[in-house]
Amino acid sequence: MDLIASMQPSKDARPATIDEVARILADAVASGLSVTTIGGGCHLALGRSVRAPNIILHTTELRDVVEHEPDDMTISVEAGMRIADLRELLAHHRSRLPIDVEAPERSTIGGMVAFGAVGPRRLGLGTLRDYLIGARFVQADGRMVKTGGMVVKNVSGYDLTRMLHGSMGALGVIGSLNFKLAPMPASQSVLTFALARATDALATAAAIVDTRLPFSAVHARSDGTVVAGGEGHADDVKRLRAEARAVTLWHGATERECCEGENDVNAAWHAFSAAPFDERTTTFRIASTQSKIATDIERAAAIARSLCFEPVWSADAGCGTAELSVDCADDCDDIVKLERELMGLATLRITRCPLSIRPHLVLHGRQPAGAQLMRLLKSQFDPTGAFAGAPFAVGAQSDGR
Amino acid sequence: MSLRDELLAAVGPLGLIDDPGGRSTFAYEAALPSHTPPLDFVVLPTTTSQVVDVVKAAARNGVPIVPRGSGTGLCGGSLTPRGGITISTTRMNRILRVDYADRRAVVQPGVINLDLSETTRPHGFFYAPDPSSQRISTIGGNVACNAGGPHCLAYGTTTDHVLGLRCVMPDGGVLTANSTPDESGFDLAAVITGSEGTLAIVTEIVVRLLPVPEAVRVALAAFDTIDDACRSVSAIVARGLAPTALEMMDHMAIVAVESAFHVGYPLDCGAVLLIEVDGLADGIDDRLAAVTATCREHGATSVREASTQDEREALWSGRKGAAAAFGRMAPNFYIQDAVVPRSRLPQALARVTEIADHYRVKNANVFHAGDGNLHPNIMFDRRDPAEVRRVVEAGSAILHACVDLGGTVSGEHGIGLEKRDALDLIFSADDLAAMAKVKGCFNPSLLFNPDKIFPSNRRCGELLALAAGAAALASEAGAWI
Repeated sequence: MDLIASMQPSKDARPATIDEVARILADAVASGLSVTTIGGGCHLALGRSVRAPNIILHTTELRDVVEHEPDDMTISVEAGMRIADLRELLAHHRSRLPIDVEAPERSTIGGMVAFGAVGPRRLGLGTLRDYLIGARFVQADGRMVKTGGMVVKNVSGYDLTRMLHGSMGALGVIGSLNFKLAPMPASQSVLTFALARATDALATAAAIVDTRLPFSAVHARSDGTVVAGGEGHADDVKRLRAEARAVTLWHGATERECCEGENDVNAAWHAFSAAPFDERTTTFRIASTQSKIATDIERAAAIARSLCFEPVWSADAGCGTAELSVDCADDCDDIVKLERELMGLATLRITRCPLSIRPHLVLHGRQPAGAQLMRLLKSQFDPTGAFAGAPFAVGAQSDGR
Repeated sequence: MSLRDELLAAVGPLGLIDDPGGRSTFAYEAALPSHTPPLDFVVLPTTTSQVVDVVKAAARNGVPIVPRGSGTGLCGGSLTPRGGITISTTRMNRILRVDYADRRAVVQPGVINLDLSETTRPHGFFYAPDPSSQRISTIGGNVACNAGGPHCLAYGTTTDHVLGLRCVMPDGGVLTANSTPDESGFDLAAVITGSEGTLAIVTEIVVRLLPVPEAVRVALAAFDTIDDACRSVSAIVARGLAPTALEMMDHMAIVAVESAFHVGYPLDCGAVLLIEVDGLADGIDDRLAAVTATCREHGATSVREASTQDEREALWSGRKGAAAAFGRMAPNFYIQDAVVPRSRLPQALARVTEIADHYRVKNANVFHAGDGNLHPNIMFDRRDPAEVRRVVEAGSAILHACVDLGGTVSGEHGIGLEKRDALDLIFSADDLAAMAKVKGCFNPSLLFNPDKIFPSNRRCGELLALAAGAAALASEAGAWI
């Protein structure tokens, strides 16, 4: 709540229906007021307000299930539904979505889609983008737009649904989202192995990926551990465990932990996603490729160490991405330097940082190649700049740096 | 300099076709829609920079541009209602790079879908989207339509396998969409995929490659009625059994396939369900058994499991060859594409049968049952105008029925010319206006593939005339997938 208070809005709005969202936005535009949308408030630090918003629109009262067809393996939920509630509801029907997030009790599904959240089981489960089949969002002028539908295959018109993923709310306020669902696997497990050095962990993780077997996750971490997940038929999971053990043994690893069963595995991935330095954590997400990620993360860590940080990182060997976290305390200048240097290394995005240092950071990395077109799109969907306080103004925040 | 001279300078004499016979070859599609006037030029560029030069020349002269792959589209997306220039990607057929370590390939849009998997399979990788036209359709065309295929049930459609796109914009600028993985900003590749060439001309595609699964099992379940088969599919989905493919063929389709190819489908049944399961060898037999047991519970009269690679291929060849087999059944056929929620499949198929009876048309169903994606194939003879009219009306009635059941008007073929007015069935004016905003940003001159996707707001009578004209066109081109 401190974060929200610091934005000093003139008014809080907590609409309970999507129609109410539309009315609030239409009124705001008519009165020349700006609006910022907030879900669970987990990633507030990641946007830069051009100016303090006049209205904070909280989506947390938009938490109903719009439509759930368990037999169709589809669901439509309002944007403010908490991840924990959604997970529980789906688990009741033996289905799920890839929603391993840091704070499931706080995070909302709309926020996770707008943020483009990526979980540790991306290799096997993908991201929410892969499951999105439709949405309703409200444009800045209060007009509601429906995209997609409740069917699992759909090429009727432009795919505005997937464009919402990672849009940071810049196209409109997401009211509801439709997903196809994955079945809950019969069996799942997570194995953790320890190696002597982080470099060995990277090589071992790459060797597990090289088996080309369907692991749900393969990560190497800065503490020299390798984490490998497997899900599916019990015999398949058993085989994946055996293969992971064989590869890691060859690389001289020792097995540290084996989690099995839905609850323990969820808890393990939840712990995996936790911020290493609590609220002082700044996390850089580095996107590279499978063949380069080991080199890139080691270089990134070396850069961080050269600036006197003690970085903690994990590299998703199967997806070619990594997250590097540092304890930033008050050394804002060094974080700014670190961000600048890492931007020269790979595609970068900050996924966590204290609010106090946010104004000094670029946050979203180098301007993407299509930035000009993105700005044009933003201006079409928000011609008056009503979302000036939105957590993301595409392209704008990387200008001038 | 005339437009012809500019195009000649851009693509050279081998890349330009402007004689009437040559041009007319490119004026058709495997589609029902419209009668299009002759296009003015066909250009066959080989590189992005040649496409840039062509687009700039067209922009200077205010001439529309329509991109085209192999012409296997089924909705008129590559037809040229306003004439202009067709950019054929036929010569942009190089696989530019394959990075096995990074599980991706960079291809030109004219690469034939199946060629990519055939190139990468010896290295243990494949490209997952597999439309039935994959032996001839191009990856660029697949991107334009966000093509699906039988294995999309497990692997997702084209959009899930496009990692990045290089495109030429209407002003001749080159856009790299999703140039780096996970870059911040709007997902431009997502909106370009499936936009049928109305937003940008795609000249390079970065696609994801998947490791070839260790084991594959294929089975064929036979049912007395299509209703039993549909209920089995709904139960398989509801139980979360997640096979790789779940394809259905009704009696008429089975008869067509058997008489053409003799693949061994049972003729004494109402429907068959082709089931594929892939993954690790350890659990695969159990996983297949769970699916076939569900079929038996719902009335399967027999289940045949393929025990060899040859048998698997034989079972699949019937499904993949269905469209060709229909060519033996009637002079023409019209393939419809609509989707319903999977639990509504029994009602949807019942409605399709009622509609076919009502309009006195012969229909065979071959479809992606696991996705709820229907493909009624309506047989007809174009020389009978009354029958053509009934076919068009039946097709429209099927779309209405699917929308009434909570479905949509296209699952994988696209909107093009044929279905643009059907979008009004599922989208409001505000919904369509939001899409139009996107189009306005990408394609403000509206010279890229005009008249496609967005409703024409024509009257019903005009629409029928349009569709009837299109039927004639399809028959001349020969209807095939």
